[in-house]
Amino acid sequence: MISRILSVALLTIVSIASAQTTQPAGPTRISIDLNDVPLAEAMKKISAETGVAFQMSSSSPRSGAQAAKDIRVTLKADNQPLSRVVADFLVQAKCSAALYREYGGLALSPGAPLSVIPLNDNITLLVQSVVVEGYANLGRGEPTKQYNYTIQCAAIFDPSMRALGASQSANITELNIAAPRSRNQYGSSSQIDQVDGRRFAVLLTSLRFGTAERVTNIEKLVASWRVLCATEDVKVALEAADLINGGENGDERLTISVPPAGNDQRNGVQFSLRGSLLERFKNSPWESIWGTGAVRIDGIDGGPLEGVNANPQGIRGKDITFRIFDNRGGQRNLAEEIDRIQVVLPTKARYIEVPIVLTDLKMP
Amino acid sequence: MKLRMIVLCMFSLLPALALAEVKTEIVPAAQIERQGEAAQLAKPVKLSLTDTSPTDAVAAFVKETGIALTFDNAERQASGPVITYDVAIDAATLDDALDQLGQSLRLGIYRQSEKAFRISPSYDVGFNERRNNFGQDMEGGTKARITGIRTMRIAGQTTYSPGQEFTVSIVVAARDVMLTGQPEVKLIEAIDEQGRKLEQAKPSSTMFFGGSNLQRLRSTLSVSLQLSRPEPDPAQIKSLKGEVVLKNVKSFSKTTVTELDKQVEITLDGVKLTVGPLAKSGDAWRLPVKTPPGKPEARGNMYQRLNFLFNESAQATGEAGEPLRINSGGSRTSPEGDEMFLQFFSDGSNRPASTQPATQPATRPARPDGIKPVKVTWSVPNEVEVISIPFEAANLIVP
Repeated sequence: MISRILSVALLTIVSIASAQTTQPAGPTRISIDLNDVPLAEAMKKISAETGVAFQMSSSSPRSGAQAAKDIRVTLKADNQPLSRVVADFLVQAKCSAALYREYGGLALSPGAPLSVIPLNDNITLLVQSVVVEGYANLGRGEPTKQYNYTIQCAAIFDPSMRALGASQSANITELNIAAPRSRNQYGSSSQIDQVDGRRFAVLLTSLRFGTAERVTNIEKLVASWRVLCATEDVKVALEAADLINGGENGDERLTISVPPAGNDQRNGVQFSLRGSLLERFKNSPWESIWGTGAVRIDGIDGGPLEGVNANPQGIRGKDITFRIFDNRGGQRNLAEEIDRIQVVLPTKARYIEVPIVLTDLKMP
Repeated sequence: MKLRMIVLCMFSLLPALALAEVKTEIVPAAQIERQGEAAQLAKPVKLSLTDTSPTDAVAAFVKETGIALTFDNAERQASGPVITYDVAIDAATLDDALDQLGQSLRLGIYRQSEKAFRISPSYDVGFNERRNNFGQDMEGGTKARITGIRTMRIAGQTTYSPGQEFTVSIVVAARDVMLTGQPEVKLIEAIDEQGRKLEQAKPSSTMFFGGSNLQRLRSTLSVSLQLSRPEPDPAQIKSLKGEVVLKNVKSFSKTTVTELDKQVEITLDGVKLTVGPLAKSGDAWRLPVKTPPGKPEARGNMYQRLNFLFNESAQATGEAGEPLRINSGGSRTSPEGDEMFLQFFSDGSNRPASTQPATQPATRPARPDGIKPVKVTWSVPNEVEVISIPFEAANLIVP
C-alpha cells in the first residue's frame, strides 16, 4: 500500500466533474495484430485496445472455459472502425455477444455469429441466430400453417454514438421472400428493454415476421430500429491518492466520495455516490446501467481493469455505496491495481432510427 | 370415454389451539366461485387521447371502465425519458377494450384476478388472455381438442432448449372446474406417417399457468404435449391418442382466523402453521405465519406450497369491514421452521370486493397503508375429484 501511495504521489491528481454535450464524431479507429493466439490472450489484447473488458459469459462456464482454451484467434486491423474490428474479433473467436448484466464488460458466449453486416462506420450488426417456429393450426375449419421467424442480432455501436438502450424488436418495413408474409404475430415493446453504458455499446434486437409457408432464404429484409443515444452526460471521477486517503468530487446532481482511511475502511475498493441524479437510475431498466458500464475502473496503465466490476452494496442515507469485486472470485489486491474510478450518467438522450438491411440470408 | 374418480383428500383441519380465534367450515366449490364474477363493462368504452404517456392513458382507461389496472413495474414509467403515444379505443366489451389499449400502448395486459388486470412490457401486445383462449368457442361439457402442432428449428447460438421442438397444443373445455395442482397430459400412442412411434419427450405443461396451486377455469385451459422429433422430420401424425388429467376441487375447507393479535395453530393444505401475532412494522401490518421445525419436505416449500397464503385462496377484512389485499412481505428459512410474513393493503387492485366496483386509480403505488386486518380466511381444497379427459386425432399435419 505504501509503495502505491508513493507512486501515485508522483502523478498529477485530476478530479473531473463535468457536464458534456455530445458532438457528432467519426468512428473510433483501432489497430490490432493477433496471430494465432489463444482466445483468452486475444480477449486481453482487444480489451486493452477498445477500453472494454471482454470475458466469457458465466451462463455457460464449462463451454466458455473450454473455448477460451481451445480457440485461437488471428485478426489484423490497421486503423479500422472499432465496431467492425470487434465484430471481426467475435467471428474469429467463434463467439456471440451476450447481454448478460453480470459485469461491466462484454460477455461472450460460444457459438459463431451467422453473418456480419456493417451498417455504417459506427454500427456493425451481427446476425447471431435464427429461430423458426412452425405452427399447424388444427382448430376448426381447414388446417393452416404458420411460420414465425426470429432473427436475433447484436449491434456494436461506436463509443461516439453513446448508445444507451433500444427496443427489443426492430420494425420490418420491407421483406422479399418466396412466400406471402402473414400478419405479424409478434408484438414489439417500444420501451427500453436494455441499457448499456459501456465505452462502446452492444445492444441486442430481434427481427420477427410470419409466413404461411416455410421459406429457406431471405432475399432482402429492411427494418428500422429505434436506439436511444445519450446527448449529455455527467461525469465524476476520483483518482490516485483520493482513492486511498479519501476525497470527494462532484456537485448536487452527482458526487463521488471516498471517506478518509480508517481502521475499518477498505479504501481503494469502495466508494459512494450521492446526488439528485441517482433517483432516475434506480428503476428498471435504468438501474442496470450500474452493471453495464456507468462505473469505469481503470488501472495504473490507464486502461480498463480487467475482470472487475462495481456492485451497489447498500444505501446509507442518500449515499449508495459500491464495492469493487474481482468478478472471477480471485484473491487480487485490487486496492493496488485501481488508479481511477469514473462514473458517467446520461442526463439527456434522444432516439435515432437505425436502418437495418439484410440480404440473402439462409433460414434453417 | 370419460373416467371420473372421486378422491377424498383429507386436508382436514387439526384442532386449533386457540379455538376462539379459529373457525372452520366446509364450503362447496361453487359457493367460492360465486364470490367473484368476471368483470363486465357497464357501457361501451370510447377513448381518444393524443400524445399521452402510458401512465395517463391507463388512468383515463381506469376512470372510464372502473376496473383495476396496474403496471407490473410502475416505477419504470417514471424512469428515463417519457415516451408518448396516441390512444384510440372504441369497444363494446372489456376484452376488446383491453386489447385495443394494449395495442395502442404497445404493451401487454393480462388478468391477475377476477376484476384486476396488470400491464407488462414483456407480454404480447394486447390482452394476453384473449390471445391464449384458442378454444373459447367450445360448447358443452368437459372435453379436450387438439388445436395445433408446434415445431422449432434453430441456426446459430441461442438459449432455446432443443427439447421443445415438437409440441402438440391441446385445449380443454372445462368451465366448471376449480383446478388444483398442475394438469397432466399422458400420451397413449402417437404414430407418424412413416409408421414410427413417437415418444413423450418431457412432462406436459400449461401455457398460461403461474405458480398458483389453485385456479378457477373460466372457459378453457391450454396444455401441451411434447413429443420426440425423429429425423427426418415427420410430415404427419397418422394417429394420436392420450388423456388430460385434471384435479377438480369439489369443496373447500374454509378457515377463518380472528383476533389476530394472538398466536394460533392451524393446519392448511396439509401444512401445520402457527399464525400471528399481528404486528405493525413501519406503515404496514404484518402477520407472521410459521411452519414447525422438521424436514423441508414435511414443511412444504415456502414459495410454492404456501403461495395460497396470499393468493386468491386468501381473504382479509379490515376494521371497517373493507376487503384487504394480501401480499407476501418476505420470508425466512431456518432449522426451526420457515416463516412468511403477510402484508395487508387496501387499494383493492388485487381482489376488489365482488359487490363493489373497483374505482381506485391504477397508478396508485402499492404501499401498505396502515389499515389493520381483523379477520383472515383461507379456503383450501377439501374434496378433490380426478377427471380424465381423453383426446384422439388422425392425420395431423406437422409444420
